Amino acid sequence: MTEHDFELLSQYLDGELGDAEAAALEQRLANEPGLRSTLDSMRRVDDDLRAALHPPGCDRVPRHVAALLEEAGAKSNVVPFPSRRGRAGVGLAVAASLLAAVGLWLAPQWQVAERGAHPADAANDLVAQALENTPSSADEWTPLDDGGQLRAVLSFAGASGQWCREYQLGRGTEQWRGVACRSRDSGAWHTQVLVEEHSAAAATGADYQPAGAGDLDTISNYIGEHATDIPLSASEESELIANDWQ
Amino acid sequence: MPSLSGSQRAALLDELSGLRRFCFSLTGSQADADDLLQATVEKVLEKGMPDDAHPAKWAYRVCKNAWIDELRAREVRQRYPEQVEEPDGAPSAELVAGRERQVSAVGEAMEALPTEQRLALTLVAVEGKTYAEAADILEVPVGTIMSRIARARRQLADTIDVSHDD
Repeated sequence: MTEHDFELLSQYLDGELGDAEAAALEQRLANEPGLRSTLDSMRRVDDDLRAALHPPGCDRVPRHVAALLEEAGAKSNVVPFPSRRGRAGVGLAVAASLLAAVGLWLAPQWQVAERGAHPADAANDLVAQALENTPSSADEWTPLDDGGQLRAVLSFAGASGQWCREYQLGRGTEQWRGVACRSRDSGAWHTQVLVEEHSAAAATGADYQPAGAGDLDTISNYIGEHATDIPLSASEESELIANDWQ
Repeated sequence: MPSLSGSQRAALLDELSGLRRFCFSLTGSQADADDLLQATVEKVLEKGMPDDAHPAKWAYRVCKNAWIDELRAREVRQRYPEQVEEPDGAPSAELVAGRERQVSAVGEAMEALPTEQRLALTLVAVEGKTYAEAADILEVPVGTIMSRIARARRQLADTIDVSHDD
């Protein structure tokens, strides 16, 4: 067995030989038991390697690592909101408070939202429309008819089989980040968690205080606990939007 | 700080699962794979990426460099692979299935390979990259990838054959 033979067999295993070279090698394999035995041995090595190096779960991406990329997109986005704390903890202190808005319905356009008590609720039909139709983006905010802006951050499959989206909502000098999931039956978007990211007072006033570690991490934790996979790719999400999330 | 474009970040997000698998292939440990993946993403975010770079290949290259840096820093390689390590009180080797012994043997033989051979073989035989893709990631000619993989396979096959003869 020559060095060249090993190289030929190796290229053959990897599908890197041209048709003519592969045919010539196959002819030799049919007539040379030693060559065939070496090829079998190399195949077993490949099988064992894949078994050793690709155990179940080896491609599972920790939520906090994916969040690094997502948060980088949020940070690069320049909008009229002066500061935003990175989820990975960059030391930028803002007053953020968990609004505990679990249970807040973001009604689709055929429902009228007159609750009015909370800014994120005041135009929830608009938010629902934006969540229904807007691709996730690192750079673009979608203007809402009431003067607010929404940025869909990412989409993921929730544990109950429904589709969920992380989003940011800005209105005036206030901004929130939340996660909403789409009911499989009604198609309504239901806010699961909502966090205030920033307020004018927090950015400029004497009440400036460090954000608690649990504030925006609440979003990460929710996604980490409920997402069944990494976020959808742009193409996967686009296809879902085109098919009304079916 | 350089920043990534939206499309570069989206491409990286798409590639994270494959990168995580590659990290495990290199480290053989779930915890170390998480650390290596995080270091890779942080380095990409810190240093940015040329506009004309292929995001996935770029990320694999950064990952490879991060792993080599880690090896140099530690001057020891990680125990590997994790899933066939015997915990305390595990059954004796005689009770381990033959298949598992074989997988363990190839893991140990892999660990003994020169780093450049191990990287080339992992990218192609385990991760399914073409020679051209591996050459891009490792920044060497395609012919070098071909010869490194052939030498690696020969070494592994010889080692395992010897272990079977024992």
